[in-house]
Amino acid sequence: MSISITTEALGKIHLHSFKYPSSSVNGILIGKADKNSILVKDCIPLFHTQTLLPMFEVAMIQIEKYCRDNNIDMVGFYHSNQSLSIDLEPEPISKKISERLYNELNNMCSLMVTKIDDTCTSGLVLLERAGSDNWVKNRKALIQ
Amino acid sequence: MAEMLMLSSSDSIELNKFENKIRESRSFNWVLVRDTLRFLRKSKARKSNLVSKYGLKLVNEYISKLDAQESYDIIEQVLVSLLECGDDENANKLFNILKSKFGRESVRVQRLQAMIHESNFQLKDALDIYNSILEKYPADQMSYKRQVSIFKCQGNLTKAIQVLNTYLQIFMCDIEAWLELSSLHITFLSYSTALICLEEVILNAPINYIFYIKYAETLYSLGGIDNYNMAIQYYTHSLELNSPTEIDVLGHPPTYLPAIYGIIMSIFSLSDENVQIKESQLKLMEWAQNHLILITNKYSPDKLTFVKHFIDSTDIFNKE
Repeated sequence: MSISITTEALGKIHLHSFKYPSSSVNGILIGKADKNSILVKDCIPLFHTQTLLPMFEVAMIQIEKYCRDNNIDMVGFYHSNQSLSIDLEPEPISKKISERLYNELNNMCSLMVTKIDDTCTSGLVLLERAGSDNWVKNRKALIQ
Repeated sequence: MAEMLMLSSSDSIELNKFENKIRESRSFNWVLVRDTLRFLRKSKARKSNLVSKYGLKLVNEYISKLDAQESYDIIEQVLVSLLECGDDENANKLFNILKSKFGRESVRVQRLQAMIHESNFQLKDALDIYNSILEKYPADQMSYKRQVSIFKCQGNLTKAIQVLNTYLQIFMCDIEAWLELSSLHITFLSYSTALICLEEVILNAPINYIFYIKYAETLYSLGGIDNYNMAIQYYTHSLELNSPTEIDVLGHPPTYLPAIYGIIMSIFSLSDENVQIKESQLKLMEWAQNHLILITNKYSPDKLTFVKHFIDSTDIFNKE
């Protein structure tokens, strides 16, 4: 599966995490997806405090409408942990939301913000589904 | 994370004023910077970029004009901000000033030394220093808190919760610590434990509307008919404290939107569970819907279609 992301979306994701360096941030990716490729055109930042259900549901209802109006699809979820240690697992809530989206959408990706360095120039890693409610990092998958 | 919730709205408005003034003034106004730093120390808001940029200049060039007692407080404050921004070089310079003034034995200097270790990822050294401080002064709150943050940084949340629990047995009235503990429990999705922590927070700060929203949101996340009903009560109490009647005199968008959204979501979820909605709740729902449209119209009219769609899809009136 190939994933491409526009500069605009990439910038938005990283700026969101830069603006709240001490919190975990997350949001929804929107763009176009078919069977074996995903194009992330834009993203909608959601939370930079704790992610709790009520406001998340509100956000999803509104994003649904936005996507329908602008003829664009939800294609995934991005998030960053509170601390940026490289080997930390994604937080449970992120796994849960990824799982929810996986069941709802045809094709989706779950991206995690990490350090930007030579091995990972985009600063994003792909999470792969490993059984229900479990997502592990796939360092090899390239994000263009 | 906690400090974002702690800041009252009047404080954050004042903070914005300070920030704009500093950024707009063409020459370096040291009195203004000093006052801003003072305000930040008092309100405990975190503005590392601002403090490190302007504070460093204040310390480097205007230190002689400052009150001697205050100047060391400012140096400490700027040092911590520099560490947060990753400017180790300047932080070390400031640290040497403090070390030569107060000596190696001073607890505050030791703590700063440990924080410098932390920023260099020498977490073990930092932990050792905190432990040795706590052996001598078991009531040193800061050292406890730094330890918690180290464990958090390592991803060892269970250990962080453990340390926080010991800390809270000694310092029962520390709201920030209870908030932190609740957020750790929320990270683990153990909402019912988080609720207990938030109850302590509310007990200690019964007039802060934000905590009621937080409590209600956690209740809602837990789910179930009783919890939805309770959530509505807490949301409305939060509205009582942060009154919507002042909408016209506010100089900024209202801060109670989460409560209004929460009320709508809770009542909608109740009707989803096939519960008979009470008369009073129906009225509340109608009020919330109208108010939501009113606010959106006033502050972000371009988003009106989404908000209307939201109201339509959570409507309980047309469903029956």
